[in-house]
Amino acid sequence: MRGIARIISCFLFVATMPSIGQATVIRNMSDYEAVMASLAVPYTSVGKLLMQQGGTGYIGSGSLISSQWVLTAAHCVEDMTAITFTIGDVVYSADYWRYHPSWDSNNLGNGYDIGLVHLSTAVSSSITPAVLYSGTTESLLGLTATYVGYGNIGQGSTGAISGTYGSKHAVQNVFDTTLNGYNPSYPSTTILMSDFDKPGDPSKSKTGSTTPLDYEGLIAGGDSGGGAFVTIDGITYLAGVHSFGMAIFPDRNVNSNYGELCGSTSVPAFLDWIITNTGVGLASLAAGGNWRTTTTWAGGKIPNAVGEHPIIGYGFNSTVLYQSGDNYNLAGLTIGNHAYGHGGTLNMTGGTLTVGAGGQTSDYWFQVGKTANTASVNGQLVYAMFNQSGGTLVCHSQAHVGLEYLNGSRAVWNLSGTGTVWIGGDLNIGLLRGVDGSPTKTAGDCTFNQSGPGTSVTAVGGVFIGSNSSYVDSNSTYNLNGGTLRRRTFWAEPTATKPLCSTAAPW
Amino acid sequence: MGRAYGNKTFVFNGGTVVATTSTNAFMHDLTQAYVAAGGANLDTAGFDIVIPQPLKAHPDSQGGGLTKTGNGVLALTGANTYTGRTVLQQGTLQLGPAAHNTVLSLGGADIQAGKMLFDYTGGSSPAATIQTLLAASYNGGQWDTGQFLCTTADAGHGLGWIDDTGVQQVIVRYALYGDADLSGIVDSDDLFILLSGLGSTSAVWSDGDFDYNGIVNSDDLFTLLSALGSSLQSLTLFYNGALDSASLGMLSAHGVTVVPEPATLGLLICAASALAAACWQRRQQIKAK
Repeated sequence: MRGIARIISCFLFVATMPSIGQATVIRNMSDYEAVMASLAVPYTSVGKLLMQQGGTGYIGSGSLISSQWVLTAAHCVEDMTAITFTIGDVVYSADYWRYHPSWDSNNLGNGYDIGLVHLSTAVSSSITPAVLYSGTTESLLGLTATYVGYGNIGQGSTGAISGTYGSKHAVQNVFDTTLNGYNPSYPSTTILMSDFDKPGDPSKSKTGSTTPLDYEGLIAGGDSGGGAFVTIDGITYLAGVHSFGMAIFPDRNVNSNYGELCGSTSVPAFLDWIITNTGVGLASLAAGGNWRTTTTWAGGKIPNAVGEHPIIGYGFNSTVLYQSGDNYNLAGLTIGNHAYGHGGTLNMTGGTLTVGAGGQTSDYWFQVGKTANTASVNGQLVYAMFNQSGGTLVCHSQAHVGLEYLNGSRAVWNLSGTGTVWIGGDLNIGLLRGVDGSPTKTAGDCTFNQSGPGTSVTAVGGVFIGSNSSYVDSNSTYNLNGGTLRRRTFWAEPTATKPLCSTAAPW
Repeated sequence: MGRAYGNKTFVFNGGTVVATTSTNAFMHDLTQAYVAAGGANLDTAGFDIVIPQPLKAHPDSQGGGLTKTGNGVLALTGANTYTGRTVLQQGTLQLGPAAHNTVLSLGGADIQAGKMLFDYTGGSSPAATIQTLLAASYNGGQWDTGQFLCTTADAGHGLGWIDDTGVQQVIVRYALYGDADLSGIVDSDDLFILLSGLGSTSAVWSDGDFDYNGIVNSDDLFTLLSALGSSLQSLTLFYNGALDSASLGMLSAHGVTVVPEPATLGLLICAASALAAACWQRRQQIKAK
């Protein structure tokens, strides 16, 4: 495989240089082939990639993330001239593919080894695409993952056996740390590292626990692009993309035996890029629909887990209805991420929506309008809107109307009827509202409209209007036309940076 | 290309903002806080809060005023320009020197309960202005005109005021007629105050002029004694001033024995029975903080 040649070349210079293209190897056991095959059975979304570069063929792996999109590694698609994807014993041709623009095959330690393959025809609906993990890279550390691929196999004492690739296998390992965490000389904090522990020999451990899992193993040549899956609260997520193996001096042979490591590109770290390029993930589709309906969501899964941060309207307009009887619990929620397009709308007429129980970081925020930098796209006004006429929003973290909002776009939260809002942290209207205050740009608007005697807002942390106003551009407004607003203080920061954690706010 | 620099705005147009903690900076540093036609309703809910933010009249929708509810203190210290009544329904509303204007010149006040403090720290007292405005609003106890309304006024209640020069505040309070010292009850202290000023022709509430005619006379004494009721029956007053027959008659009717005492410079209360006043005084609490 072409990747191997490149990495071996790198490896000759630096003993710990990571190397691309490994295969699945499991710890020593007599029936290892059967065990590895059995472990892979549940992971139906993983298929085999066959790539052509001129007259040379390569094998790799990939994970189906929608009916026509396969997530794989950048080095599996770079410079390729033809690609097929085999899943469910059916071969699908790819019509185009792409890899992350920051990918540099000569600087693997920088990360970005992630790519996408688009299939010319849709895969059978009987095969369920993988669900992308939308938490954080950090939250994956310490979790046990199942590594699935089509590479060479073998056992820990001998490593991968050449020519054994081509069938689906899986092993398990733990996301011990990031590449930067393992070796700070590497910059990437988005590569998940696992080592291959040897039973009874702690000296083989390079990071994390010295005790191997029952089915511990590493990826090897041909597994590249395959998926590393974690299961949280009964839901299985695609969390990593197989990238490389690493041998530690004096081991000069990267063959995935005991004491070596492997790296997987973090899926949540590149979720924005994946969704932007595919519309896949925990994002609503352009057609929108009811929250409770699977067809509303690009990944075909209704967002309803504390590890999930769905996006309504990511790069396109989309409207979703949340209604009586709905009761979902999420990490966070973004309505309208406009970095690449128009916006989104969530209409809430009933039910209870709970977000943000995980903490105060951005993964757990409730956001109406994020990262807008243009007033319109193709003549359409860029907006994000949350229309709440009923039901209850419980936000344990922060809630924002317009985050990094500037240059003509709109973020609006309309609370009316009997809508009830409880925010455990801050309610920020216009946070980081712009970056340059350029007179050539038009101010955006970040607005909270509360009306109707039956409405209620409680912001335990406070209400902040136009925080970080040193970044001036957008207007921030709270219109109280009715109902009750309970809060600690109104606060608009004149100059300095506001602590993002409400409990640290200087009151 | 439009607005280059963002505004930070809060618009009061109905609804109620409820405090959940005491703070000296409840609302501040906004570009503007507007009060529109729906008005600003603030419930201090037992907390003490300060709003340094000027509350301005909305450019397109005005007249809503401001209503303060809940126990606790709401202090407005900004240069407010909102229009409409400033309504006090409960607790204490304190107006800084820059905030007097909305009550004394613009929309006026409706003090339905509690007390309104006009702080004049470092400046001149607005007492004379407030006295004039209160006198104009009294209207025979109707309190239905001018700058100071009291829509909860009745035969026993209206607005009283006092200039506390020690803390530099003029206090205007929903009060019992007769409560000259605005202590919240009508008691012998108020009677002594009134009797001290009896006959004065340049008197104010704190002298015992409860009907705002500038005179402390038997009318005011009648008002006070009516508030006290029959609870003075064991009181003996040693009094060195002159009481007209009407006043003496009223005191007598209320069981007060007046004993001339030229050697006494002021008013003294006959010790034992008077010190037991708490047992018999007709105490009427005023809703307050």
